[in-house]
Amino acid sequence: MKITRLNTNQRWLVKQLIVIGLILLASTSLVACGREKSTNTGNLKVTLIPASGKDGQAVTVQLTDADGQPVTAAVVSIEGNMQHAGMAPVMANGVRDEADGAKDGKYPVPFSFTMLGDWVLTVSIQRADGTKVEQDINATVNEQGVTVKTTSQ
Amino acid sequence: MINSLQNRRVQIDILRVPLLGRFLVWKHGRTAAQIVLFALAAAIIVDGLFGSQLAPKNVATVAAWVHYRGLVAFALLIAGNLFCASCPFMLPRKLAKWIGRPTRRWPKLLRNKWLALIGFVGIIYSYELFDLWASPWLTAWLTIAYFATAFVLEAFFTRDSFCMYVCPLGTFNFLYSTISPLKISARNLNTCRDCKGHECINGSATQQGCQLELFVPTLKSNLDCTLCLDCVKACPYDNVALAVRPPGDELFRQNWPNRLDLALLAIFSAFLATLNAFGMTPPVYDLEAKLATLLVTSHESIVLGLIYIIGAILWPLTLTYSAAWLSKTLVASPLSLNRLVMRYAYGFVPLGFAIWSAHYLFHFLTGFMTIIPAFQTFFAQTLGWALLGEPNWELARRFVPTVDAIQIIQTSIIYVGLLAALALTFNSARKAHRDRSKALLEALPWLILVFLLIFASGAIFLLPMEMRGSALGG
Repeated sequence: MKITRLNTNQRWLVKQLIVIGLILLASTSLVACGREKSTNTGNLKVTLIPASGKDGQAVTVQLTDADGQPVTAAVVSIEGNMQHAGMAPVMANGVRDEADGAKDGKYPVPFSFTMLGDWVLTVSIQRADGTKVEQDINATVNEQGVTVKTTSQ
Repeated sequence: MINSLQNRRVQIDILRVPLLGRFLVWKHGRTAAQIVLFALAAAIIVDGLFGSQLAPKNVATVAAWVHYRGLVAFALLIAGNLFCASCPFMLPRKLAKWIGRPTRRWPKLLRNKWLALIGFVGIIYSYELFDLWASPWLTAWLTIAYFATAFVLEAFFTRDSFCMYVCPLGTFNFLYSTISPLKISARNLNTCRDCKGHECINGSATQQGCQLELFVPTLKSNLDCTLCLDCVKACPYDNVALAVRPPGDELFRQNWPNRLDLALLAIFSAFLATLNAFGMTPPVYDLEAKLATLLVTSHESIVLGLIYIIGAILWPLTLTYSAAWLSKTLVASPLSLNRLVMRYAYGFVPLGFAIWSAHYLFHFLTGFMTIIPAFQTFFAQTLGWALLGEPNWELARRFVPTVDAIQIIQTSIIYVGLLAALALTFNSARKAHRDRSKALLEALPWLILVFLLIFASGAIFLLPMEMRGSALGG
């Protein structure tokens, strides 16, 4: 079989096509990668109630089930990160519902905002059956106080 | 021929420093530095795409928006254009050249800084619009786009066209390396006079010459110099030095070519520095809300676009040309307005650099240690290989200066920038007019403009910066 040699321009074109193909392939693979971390809190509704004022020393996490009944047998902790890079996270260790003397599904977590700006609070809930769920909640702290932007279930 | 170590009062050549000098002139010295930054860029891409999307925990956002910017400002101040010297985007150049066999020259019409200036404004605008500081994913894609653009342009065009005419990061570094204390110089001008091959620019059989076509003995400015040291390696007479000079020396000598693109780059960059810092303060949200109501739109791109068109383009142009017109009128100067803009642009270089540095150093000083747990997180959680141990975020809180200390540093930087800008403005006027009062009169509008810009920046730095985080009560 006679092999036809490519001329210089054809070889150049083949090189270009190979590289463009590789770039497209890589791009497609990368775009296909999900960037959202899925969170599943099941039928649990998580509500964040910040203390009034910008420098409150605690936030309250309210847990209710699908019927709106308080969930009392859990341990709730919070890790707060600013949206801007370069800030250390603020951790609040897990607390039980009765930490404030009442079993009402409201968990007083000793979390305080150390900076003004946009925050992502990752609320971790360890349930009585050993399952652990996490929920990210966005909040903004300014001179007027704390505004919770998203509280979802 | 004027660029020589001989002509300097202090004759220090960094290339003669033991070990450091040997590393710099080592054939693979630049490649070694590029590999380090290439590995960092790879980490940015991998962690940005596959790691945690919490910006403070991701190498992409921490390395790009906290450390890179702070370290670049620091490097420019104490040495020179070290980032371009070890630029990872140029590492695939050989591959690009193998594929493309570039023969085309960059179009003549675009052989200036206009495209780079547009790119620079575009990147800062995108940074605000897409909250790049908060998105590892977009930061990774920005890095990929940078690699792709550099790669494609290198495959098509000769002579490092991407560096010289397109790269916004390089343009920032070129501009502010004009205040740096290091500059490529000839050792002995007589050697250059007798040189026939001009290998520093033409290259030799084993070493390419300057791809940016800068001729060592006539090199007046650090503008366009990537500190690649190809000229050093190509010179068969070992006659190229990395000389120490007084910071900002070339600005006082007014060594730049008379080009409006360079002048407006210096001026726009200073205004952009102020606008970038303003974009992170509470008043900008009020302004955005008012503009949104006025324009009956909820699209941030339109509102922010309007702020940038006014703040980064129309406002600087109006103020600059008003100052030029006043100068011309006050001394009945025969010069055109553009010529006057070029004359007084030098003062905006230290001014802009001071504003950028004060801003970037805030992030760097508050977040300096976060890079360690960010890398620990990258290895342990993204790669699943705890090479550096489990993430220890307690480290991030160490060595963080107080808000008061940071504001003192920022204020000091701003004052030094102001003094340098005033000195350069006077210098420009005195070089043009022997008569001191006439010089002062011509410089007056520019001095007012310098004060206005520095006052605006100082006021912004004292505001609580929301997005970047201020300590409560600070």
